[in-house]
Amino acid sequence: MPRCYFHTLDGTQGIDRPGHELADDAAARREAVRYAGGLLADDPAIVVGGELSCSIIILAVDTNWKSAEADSG
Amino acid sequence: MRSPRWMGDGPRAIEEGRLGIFVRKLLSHSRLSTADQTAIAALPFSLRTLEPNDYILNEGERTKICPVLLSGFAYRQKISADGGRQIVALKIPGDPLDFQSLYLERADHNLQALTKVQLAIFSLDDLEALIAPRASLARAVLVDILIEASIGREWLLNIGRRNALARLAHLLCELYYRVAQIAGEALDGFELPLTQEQLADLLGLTPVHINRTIKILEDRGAVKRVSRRLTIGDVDTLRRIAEFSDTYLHRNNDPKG
Repeated sequence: MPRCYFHTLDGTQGIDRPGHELADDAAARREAVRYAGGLLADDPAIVVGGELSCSIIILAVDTNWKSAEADSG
Repeated sequence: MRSPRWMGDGPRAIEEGRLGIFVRKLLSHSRLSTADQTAIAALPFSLRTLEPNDYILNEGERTKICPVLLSGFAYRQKISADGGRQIVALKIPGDPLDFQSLYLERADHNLQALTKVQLAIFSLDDLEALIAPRASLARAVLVDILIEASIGREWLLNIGRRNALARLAHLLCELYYRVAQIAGEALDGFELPLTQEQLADLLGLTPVHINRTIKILEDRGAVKRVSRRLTIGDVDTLRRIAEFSDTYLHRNNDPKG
């Protein structure tokens, strides 16, 4: 299973060091959307002027720690 | 050196007898006479050791036994139709795991070992025969069930209404106070038995969100993380973040107190 790193860019250094093992790109995308939903529920103020002032970058690597071909989100 | 995870009594079990931790658990919320305590200690039981994630009880099962956790941690969980898992209770050393089956025919949830556990297995018939003529013991069983229900209500509030940071801090506070009470001492660097995935399934957050929230607690000095092990650094900071009140734990439930 690929290991995905969910880095959060919202003005702080939200670097995901351990990462998370997920089945595939679709699972990673679902996880990212659920995570973003959680952040939004936590702090609705992250929506500034109608835009989400926060982005989640997913970096997926395979078991050999090589970047996956298809990067998502 | 890192202090080892608190898993149960250790040498103290030899002084007090193997069931000492169970008797102490009941005494933490109920008055029991020496005769009551002796009667519990005289109950026949068998010992069973299980590995992490082993099932202790399955949903739908009719059981004839009541396990009591002598060492290690366990959890109750339920699974939704689409496979989502929710951890609905955490059990710590000393906790009886299934008083409910004294009164309800079928298990309504799954019960699993979180860490390696040692269980004392009693027969429900023996337990029933023990408490039927002893009002104080019957009361202790009821109080134990009521406190678990109270903790369940607090978890509903926690998951439904607190933000991720307060939610995680609240759980950590609760675990710290529950374990410190049964251990009978302040726990320096209490190590949590839960993985991030298990915390996510307990708190209704994604593992990614748990990881981020732990990092915030770490930055504030509330927890420490060494490789994948999470320990409580400063319980007062956790208390402040969670605005923790321990009323729901009923830690001083002495009726004459």
